[in-house]
Amino acid sequence: MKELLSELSSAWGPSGEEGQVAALVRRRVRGHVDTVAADVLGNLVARRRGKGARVMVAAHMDEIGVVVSHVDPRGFVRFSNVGGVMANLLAAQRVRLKSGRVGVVMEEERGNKEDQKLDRMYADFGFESAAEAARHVRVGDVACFDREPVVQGHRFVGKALDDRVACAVLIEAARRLKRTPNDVSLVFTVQEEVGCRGAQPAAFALDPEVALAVDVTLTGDVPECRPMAVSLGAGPGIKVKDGGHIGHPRVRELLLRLARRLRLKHQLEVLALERASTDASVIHKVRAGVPSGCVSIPCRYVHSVSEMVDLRDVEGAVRLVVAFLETDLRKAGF
Amino acid sequence: MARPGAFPWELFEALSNARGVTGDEGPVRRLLRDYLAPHADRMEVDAMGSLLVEKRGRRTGARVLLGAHMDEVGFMVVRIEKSGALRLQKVGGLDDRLLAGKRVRVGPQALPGVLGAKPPHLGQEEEASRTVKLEDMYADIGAADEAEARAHVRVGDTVTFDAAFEPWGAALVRGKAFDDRVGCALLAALVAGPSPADFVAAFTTQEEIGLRGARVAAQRFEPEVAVALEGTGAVDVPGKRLAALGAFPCLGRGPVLTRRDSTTISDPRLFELFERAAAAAGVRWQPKRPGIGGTDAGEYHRAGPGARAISVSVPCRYIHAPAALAARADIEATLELVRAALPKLAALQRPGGTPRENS
Amino acid sequence: MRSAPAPPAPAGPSPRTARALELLRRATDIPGLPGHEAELVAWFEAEARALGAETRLDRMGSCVALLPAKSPGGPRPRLLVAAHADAIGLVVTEVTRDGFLRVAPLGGVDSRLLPAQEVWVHGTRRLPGVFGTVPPHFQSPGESRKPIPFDELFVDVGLPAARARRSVRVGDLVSFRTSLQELLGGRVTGRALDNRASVTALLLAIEQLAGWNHAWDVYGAATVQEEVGRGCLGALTTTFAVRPDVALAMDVTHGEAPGADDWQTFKMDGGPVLCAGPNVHPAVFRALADTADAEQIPYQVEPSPRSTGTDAMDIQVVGHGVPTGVVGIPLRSMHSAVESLCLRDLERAAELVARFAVRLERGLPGRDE
Repeated sequence: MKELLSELSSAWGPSGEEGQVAALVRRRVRGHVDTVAADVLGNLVARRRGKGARVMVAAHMDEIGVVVSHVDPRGFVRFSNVGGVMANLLAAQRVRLKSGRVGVVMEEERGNKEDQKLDRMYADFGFESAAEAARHVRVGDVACFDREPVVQGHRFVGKALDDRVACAVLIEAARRLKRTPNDVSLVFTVQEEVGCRGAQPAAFALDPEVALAVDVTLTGDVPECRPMAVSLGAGPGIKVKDGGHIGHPRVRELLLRLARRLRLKHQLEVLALERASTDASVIHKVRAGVPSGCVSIPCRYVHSVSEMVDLRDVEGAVRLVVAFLETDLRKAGF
Repeated sequence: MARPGAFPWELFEALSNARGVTGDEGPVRRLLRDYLAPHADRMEVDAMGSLLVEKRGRRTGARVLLGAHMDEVGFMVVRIEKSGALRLQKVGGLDDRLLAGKRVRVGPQALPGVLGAKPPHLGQEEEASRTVKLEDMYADIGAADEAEARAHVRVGDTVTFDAAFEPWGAALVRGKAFDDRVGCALLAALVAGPSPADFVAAFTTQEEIGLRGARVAAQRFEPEVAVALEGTGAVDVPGKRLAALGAFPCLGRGPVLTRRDSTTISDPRLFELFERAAAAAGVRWQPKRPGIGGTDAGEYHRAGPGARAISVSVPCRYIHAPAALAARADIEATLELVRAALPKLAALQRPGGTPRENS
Repeated sequence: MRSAPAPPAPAGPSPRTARALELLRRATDIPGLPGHEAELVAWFEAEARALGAETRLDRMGSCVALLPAKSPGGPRPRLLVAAHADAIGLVVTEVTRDGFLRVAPLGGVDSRLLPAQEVWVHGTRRLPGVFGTVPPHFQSPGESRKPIPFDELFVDVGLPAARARRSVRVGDLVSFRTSLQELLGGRVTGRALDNRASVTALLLAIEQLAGWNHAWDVYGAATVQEEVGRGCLGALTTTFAVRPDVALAMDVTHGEAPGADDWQTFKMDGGPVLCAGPNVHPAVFRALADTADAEQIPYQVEPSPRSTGTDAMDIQVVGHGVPTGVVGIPLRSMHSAVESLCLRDLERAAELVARFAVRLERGLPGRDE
């Protein structure tokens, strides 16, 4: 899991350009499923055919980043956000273009404090002129954060664990899934960070009878943070609700039963942040509706360059997802 | 008589002057319906009021949809005061700083009116340094009291800016609602000429309040390739931060191709297709500032099982304001570009089937 | 919580009003919080069945009650009338070491209305609780002038910590503890009148329609999760399944009150409120207004420049699009535990919808006709 997660964390894939992550996922999952196919937006569907209930499990491949909006006459790059980038966490971070070229992000020393923060920032890729910059970058190019992962004890730190940790969970679940009566589609979605744009058409095409999203959630266990009854190391979260989705009670109850049967440490999770949600928030509205739940990986410092998860929670999530997929979901009422 | 397939300047003028605030697009729709009737293979008006036109071409390939929205930003009358003044609410995005002291037209009869505001002589000193908010403004149609106002206006009537289309010199045109009547005119030109391929022309409603007409049109046709034709904001104007942040798109530099805006990440292959078509046709194009503004493509790309989508726009200064400016050359170049790209759109590869299985 | 015995009423309410009151009382007693509407929906289903409708529950838990057209012949056009079943409340986010409960809103709950509010906590059993407060003596200067944020609010269930933790867990629901109370002038107050008033009106409309000949199939739906999320889940998914040709959303709108008197408020006892604007198809509006005029039902018009804020926003854009209208009941103090309305407005809304349905003989004109 550590190697898989390191590879996934380091992969380059800001929203809209998930191709490299998709190639990596395809390599790792193809031996454990019947087919792997990409749709027009780049969603990757890894399918284990079955005669039972159509179930969709989603993890998103994209990460937040920045998009080049202007190259100034001296070769400095102005940018806008891709997804929920927190401007006050950017100064002195590094960003990486698809080519691998790395830039340093800085804030104007004497910028006008009344302007938007992102407008006062710029990226320095080391270009010595606009002409040199033009050979490497143009308006509309994207970059992701650049940071190597670190593992210490049970704690894994890296960028883009939102939501590469869930991609790892799905890949590992595919590996461990022996028999399933269901028709399983593991969907590695695109463009979640800019509005769950990939999950919606993917769910429409699949028309599942039940769905799970796997994504990170926040914790309430660091100094002076907003209160939340979720802690790192206390097991995967079974979502009650977040800003865009209320976990379908039947899915939630099934996940709780499975967790207890497996004697798995788990936490009931409420994410009381109106703007935060997962792919489940669009999947459950598709067509005549899809009863959907969410398995959450507790994560500190979400949307920073140093997100932190506990590998025991990740292992717990894998076991829970496998158990869910092994359950006869038709008999369970879906 | 204009040559068939040329940009329809008279139609554009009529469209710009036509009044069609979001929800009240009827006059624009009827203009287009009458203009296109001889050229369309099939026309229908859907439940949203969008005009959906099917055009047959020489061959069939991927399902292609070209769209432009008929609605413009404006106001709605929400209350009639005892004094005869009309209280308004915005329909669509409008900058409060632009509104005071402008001329408007009220209701289906297009009654002339003005957006008044308290004169600077009468206010407190500190009021002068604040923006006049819409709540402090009123529309004055000259009614002496509520009864007289009610004889001419109803709560729910829509209100447009009052601006007549006119040329500025030989190079520019000025008018209201270039966003998106210029797109409608471009799309009408494409329908009016012979077409290399089948496509659906969607003249949508309610773009300005959340791309609502486009959503329904996309759900109806489930296009595989979609292009939104728009009038987008040019920012080649003086402004403190514009130089540092990039003062583009500009008038005179040709059509604007969007890689990503606030609602859509354009399909990269579709973007390349337009780049190549521009190069082959000798049309200069310019990029759009990423992340700013949204278009109907936001719904086209994720309706049904998903689609390749892009926005192609005419740069216009002062959109969402009474008097926008656009360059004739940019408009004609945009038409030329889309016409050059159209035969290639239907031939765009599906991603290995729907979806192709491989492992 | 028992109120003081009321003085004798002057004359009894009409049978129709008594029926409305009885339904409304039952409807507002059931919590039915967003995502957890099953009990309310089951009640609606049973009532609709008793009126002769064919009912079914759909995938996301909404109930659709069908009154088939009585005219003979093939496929008939469909009218959908939707009233959302859910009512706002709260969910437990944490049970503290000392046995107090932290909560988060389910729907648009105003935190300023919560201090000292009595609630039901739906744990292993239903527990009484109250939003506790810190006495003013212990607050810092200026604190009493600021609203208490959700993070600092807590519910006290009066149990020792260990028992509280055994009886309540994260995810349990919290609803306002109020039962329907009659006021003067045919008005009532209570929790969840948004939107149990419309659910009640919908049942009354079904009751009326069941006795009439109508040419369209009428689907009355109690939809889920209007109050939460981005987009109304029940409205979207139920409309997709039913595929109506015309739809109405029944909801509540703001009633005039001291300090609330502008273009968005409407007279109590002024009759149902019809929205006009992009979300409403002009022919549907026209048909509602014409019906009201013909039946002498007073009505009011709500200008909705961008959004009506109802299920109609989602119903309208499903599939190939649905011509939609909105019928609103004026309501004071929306989203509080002391919402109030005029029963006559509720009855008139029901009547208007039933009459509208019956007049849908030949369909509605298109936009340019």
